[in-house]
Order: sequence, then C-alpha cells, then structure tokens
Amino acid sequence: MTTPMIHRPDMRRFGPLLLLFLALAVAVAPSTRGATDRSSLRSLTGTLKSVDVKGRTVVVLTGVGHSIRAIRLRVSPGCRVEVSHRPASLTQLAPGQVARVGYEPAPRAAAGEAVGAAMAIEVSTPRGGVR
Amino acid sequence: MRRPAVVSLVATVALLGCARASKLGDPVPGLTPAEREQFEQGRVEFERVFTPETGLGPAFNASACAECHDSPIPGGPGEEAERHVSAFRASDLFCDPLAEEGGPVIQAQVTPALQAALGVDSEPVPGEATAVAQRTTPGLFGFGLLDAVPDSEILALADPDDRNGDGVSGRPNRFLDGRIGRFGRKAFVPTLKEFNEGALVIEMGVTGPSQPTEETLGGRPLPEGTDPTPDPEVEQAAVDRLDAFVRLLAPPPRQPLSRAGKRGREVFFTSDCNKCHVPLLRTGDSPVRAIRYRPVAAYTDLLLHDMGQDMADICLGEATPSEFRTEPLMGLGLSEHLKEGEPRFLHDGRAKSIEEAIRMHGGEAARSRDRFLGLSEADHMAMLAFLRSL
Repeated sequence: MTTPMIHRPDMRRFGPLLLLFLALAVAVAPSTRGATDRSSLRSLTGTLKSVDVKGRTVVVLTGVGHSIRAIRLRVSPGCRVEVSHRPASLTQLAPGQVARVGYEPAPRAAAGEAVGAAMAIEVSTPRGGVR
Repeated sequence: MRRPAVVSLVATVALLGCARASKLGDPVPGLTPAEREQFEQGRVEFERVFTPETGLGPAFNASACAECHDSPIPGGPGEEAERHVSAFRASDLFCDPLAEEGGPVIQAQVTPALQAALGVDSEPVPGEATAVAQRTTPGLFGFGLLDAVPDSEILALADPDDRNGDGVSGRPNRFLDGRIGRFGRKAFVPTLKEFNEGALVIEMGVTGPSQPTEETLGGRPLPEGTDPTPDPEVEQAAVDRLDAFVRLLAPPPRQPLSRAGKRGREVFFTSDCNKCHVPLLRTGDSPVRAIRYRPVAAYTDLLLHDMGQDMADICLGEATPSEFRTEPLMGLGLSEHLKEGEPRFLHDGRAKSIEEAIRMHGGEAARSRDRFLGLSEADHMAMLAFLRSL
C-alpha cells in the first residue's frame, strides 16, 4: 500500500537511456553486479520538489490527475545528471524543474523512505515547472 | 427570409446539433452500439456506491461519483464543496501541492476503521499550507469533447505576454511532467482519463491500476488493518467503463434563444467576454467517431488567466494562486438549480448568482466586468438570459 505510482517507460524513447543506466550500473556499482538487470530499472518524469545535495536525495512529484505522490529517491554515487542535455551536478538542480529520472527500485521501502536509487537525472530546461 | 439569415440559421442549427444532447444526460449523438453499451455500463459505475469492503476510503470525500455530481442528474454539478491546499513560495514561485502532507485534496470523511484507529473524523489541513481553497463540484457534460481538443488549439489561443495589448494574457498550465493541462479549475490535468482515475483515489479512496496507492492521512501512513481491501481496489475494466460514461456524456442541450438572449449574445461579444470564454473550440482526432473533428461550444479557452488577488487561493502546477482556468460556460444555468442548497458559482461557490459571479471577476477580466456593470438594465438582463441558455 505504500508502493509509489510508477510510470512504465516508453521503450522507444527510453531504450538508449536504459542501456546507459545498465552500463553505469555495471561500471560504478560492482557490488551490485549481477543484481541489476534490465527489468529492474524504472523511470519516472515529474517535478523536482527538493534536492538535498549533501544528503544525496531528491524528491520528485508525480501522480495521476489530482492524486499526487512525492517520490523520494537516493542519488547513487555514479548518477548521471544532465541539464539541457549537458553534464551537470546536483547543485544545478532546483525545485520546480521537470526531471526524468531513471532509478533502481529498493526491494522494500516504508512510507517516507527512498523508494530507490537514482541512476540518471535529466532536466530538459534550466528551470521548468513554474513561470 | 434573406439569404444571409438562412445561411446563419443553417450554420447555427448545424453547430448546435453537432455533439449536443437532445436531452440532458444523453450521450453524444452518433455512437456505435458498442460505444452506447459502454456508456450505459459506465453510468452504473458512476452511480456505484462503494463501501469499506469494496474499496471505499480509508479517507474519502464521497462514496460514489453520483453522490456529488447529481444535479439534476448523474454527471451534473453538485452542491458539495471540498478543500484543496498548497504552499506557494513566492521567492522562487515554487508550488508545493503538499503531497507528503496529504494534499492537495483534503478528504472530509474517514471509514469507521480509520476513525477507531486514529480518533479523527477527517483529514487535517497541513500546517505548511499557505492557502486552503474550497472547490465546488463541476458538471461533467461535454468533458469528452474538451479532452479531444488538440493541445495545438489551446496553444494557438495563448498570449502569455499580451502581445496584442488587449489586457488578456492566457497561458497554459502544465502537469508535473510538463504536459499541457486542461481539466480542473487550475487546468492542471492533461487528460480526462487521468482526471477520472485520479478522482477515484482522491474522492473515494478507491485505488485502481494506474494509481494503486491510497492517499495518506495528513502524510501519515495508514495504520495496520484500516484498509483491508487489496490494491488495486477496482480493475481496469471498471475504470474504463467509468471513463466511457464521462467521456461520452454530451454537452447539455442548449436552450432556445429568446429575443433578449440574442441581444445578450451580442453584448457578450461587445463586452469582450469572448476573449477568454472562447465560444467555439474544435476537437481533433479521436478513437470515438462521434467526438472526432467536432465543434464544441464550451465557451472556454482552457487557459489560465489572472483573476486578481480577491479571487486568489491555492497554486497548482504552474498556476499561481490568482490564476484560474477559464470556466467552460456550457451548462452554466444548471448551477442555478442544484438539488440541494443554494446556487453556487465560481470555483469555490462564493457567488450565489451568475450576476454576482461576473461582479467578482477581477484581474484580466476586470475590463469586461466593468463593461457589464455599465450596461443598461435591459442589456444586463439580456446577457444573463444568454448565459442561462448555454
């Protein structure tokens, strides 16, 4: 009952991105090698609510209609961050930006806990979500 | 009859006959037998009363869609109002819908199990909220046609920087993922499907395949044993039937225009009300032939407009507290005769008559409001007669 709503990725659009996630996962997280496979990766697109650079977590707002969920994600050490298709750092992310996040879900997550580890965060505009 | 008058009459009949119901509550004309059957099955879902055993709650606003959307028939507006919250940060214009604190929709009721566990009768308003808004129950007639209006049609009406200098600067709202919104008083929700699926959860606490998690109570996890029905609580087929009913509900039949009403239509245009309440939109492609490429006389541009600080309440998506979507005027007169309670107009029901609602327009609509206030008594009444006919 606490599993967040998850958008299923469009394979045509996300295929290359997922492959990149896989490569990153293998390259930067050898301890999880063998545990990460294509089917375990998820993606969501939503508005960044908060970015905790020090604590390496982001909270993304997503939902169905007026039913909105806040999805908390841990940012993995090798997470690729892009702003306007250019490499960026977490410090360049800000609340209000629309972000597409690829992440590996955590096996179990209680309410309020991170539901997974972000492997890639893409923001298409420097500042989105609000005027 | 002179030729132009005949042409005008034919065009008007063609326009009004298109996709309008012959009787309130009918589906759009021209459905296939299968679509008609889906509409009728969907009506059953719309009127279905949920119980805690069938998925209601634990927090909810109503036990059936038709409990609120009931005037004068299922699918219509209702007298119920609910509370929405948000926190608007003026420093960077960030809108927090307070999802982690139970927002943006606050549930007014809880099931006996949740009441016993927590000792509460309703969801609390988060302390972080910078605004609490009342939201009335809208009529749903013709929403399927609004859903089929292409984004490009909405964007073509936008003038965010008021380049034409008319004092009206509509802009689209966007959903959390960046898509253009159109449903809800803040034009937040992009599609009717999502509007309906989200309503199942926020209004009745009924989870479906697209939103399989319950709303929290003020952000607190639900206590063990208070939500006994496994998620999702309804199957996709039931959600699809419900969606079909709302999608295929025709716009309300338009009332014949009296002489005063015809004069009122002229005054509507000369007062520039049509700059936001755009009389006609056109649908695009649709899997439903009866909805495809049809005119819809909704009297809205589906855009956000600044309505002034007196009207301001919550933010949502990109909509600031004082920005609201132009309310469709089709079926406006239905809110004068609600099943229970007094008439309610505007997003929060603060106006008790159409005239009062116009008087309360501010911001970008102030100029049109002032023109209305300056009308002669006869034109004043003519405008109201026209609006009641929509």
